[in-house]
Amino acid sequence: MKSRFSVGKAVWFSYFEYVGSTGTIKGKVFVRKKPGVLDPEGATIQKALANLGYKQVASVRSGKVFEVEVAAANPKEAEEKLREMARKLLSNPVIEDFRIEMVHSDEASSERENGPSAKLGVFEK
Amino acid sequence: MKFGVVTFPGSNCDYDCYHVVKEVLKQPVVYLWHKDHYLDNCDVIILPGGFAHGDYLRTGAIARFSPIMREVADFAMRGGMIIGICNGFQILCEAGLLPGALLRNQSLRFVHKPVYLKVERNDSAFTNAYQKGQVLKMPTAHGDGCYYNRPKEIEQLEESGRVLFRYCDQEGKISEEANHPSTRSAGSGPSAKLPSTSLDSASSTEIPRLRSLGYAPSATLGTGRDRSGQVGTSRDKSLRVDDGVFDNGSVNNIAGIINSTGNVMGMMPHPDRAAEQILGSADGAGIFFSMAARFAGQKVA
Repeated sequence: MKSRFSVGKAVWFSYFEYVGSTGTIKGKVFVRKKPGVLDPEGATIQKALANLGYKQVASVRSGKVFEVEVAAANPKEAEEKLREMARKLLSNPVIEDFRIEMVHSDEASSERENGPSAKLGVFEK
Repeated sequence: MKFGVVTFPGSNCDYDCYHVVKEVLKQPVVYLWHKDHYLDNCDVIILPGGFAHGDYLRTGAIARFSPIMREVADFAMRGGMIIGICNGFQILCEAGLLPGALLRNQSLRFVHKPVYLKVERNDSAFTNAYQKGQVLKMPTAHGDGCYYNRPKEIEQLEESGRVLFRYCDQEGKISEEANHPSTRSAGSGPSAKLPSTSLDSASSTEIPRLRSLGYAPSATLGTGRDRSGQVGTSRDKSLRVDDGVFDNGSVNNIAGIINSTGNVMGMMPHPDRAAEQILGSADGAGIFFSMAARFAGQKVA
């Protein structure tokens, strides 16, 4: 079966307008190269996977994920801020596009209780 | 005529640029710190090479928000001459002062070696000291120099003759596509209207436009371009590294471009590192002399 892999380099930073972590909302910004833009890094990873025996990998595109914490009154406001940041700095519209995913509030609160390792959805090891 | 060299944290060619202006061009020059809010009445602004802000996120992405860039953008709007070399080119692209973007080299390698460049037009503020079609030798030193833009905009760039430099081989040939008649539609754009020079190689060094019109990145990526098959006509010659066309994946072999008003130029190779014969080539000095000549002309007029 043909499968598509997506590889992300995660960079984490916080955006605090107020001191402390209360009143912040988390979101993820996925930035990827637009279809058609050269991605030699992805191509190299695909070759490496093929060398490992994963001949069924049809394509690999590399990208970046930013996990951002925003001080905002509500998720909608936070998302708008993230969109602004993604347009201004996190992505370059000539070569990249982006997708924003807001983190559900109970995921975020479980992170506050359990520490940063449990943040932003389930990450497999 | 006063030059200003902007130093960002991470710039490493600011001294080279300063040296060339002061010792080769013999003109007054000052350093401008990236946090400055004024350009100190400079007539030309140089954005030097290096790794501004560590090249984090994307090359030039953070540097473009340095305080001085607001002044640099205003200066560009007023028609001031700006040249971005290497990292400076990347910053100008990120800032939107030049179109397009510079991607990771197709080889994924940082390449530092002398390359050949073809001068596409000699009527610009930055190339008037050269002949059209002249082949220059200067070093490149970059990991992200693969020029990319949307196919439509590449077409516009080519049609308005805004490509100043292209990577070529020692004889000025760009690739075997250059010899293919179907890749060039005759008589389009100002570059075609420019008076042809006495260089007899002019017809064989015409621009390959096929890639600009139907550029297929995935096809070139998958097969890997066969250097020995593409470069020049003689297979033996292509084996010598210096004779080959430098290939970082740039669309149409673009190495340097100007903006639509002709006062902002960016290029990946380093004229600042090839402005004196003792360094192996003095070809880069022409760019600095061109700017001086254009400025002198402006003052008279």
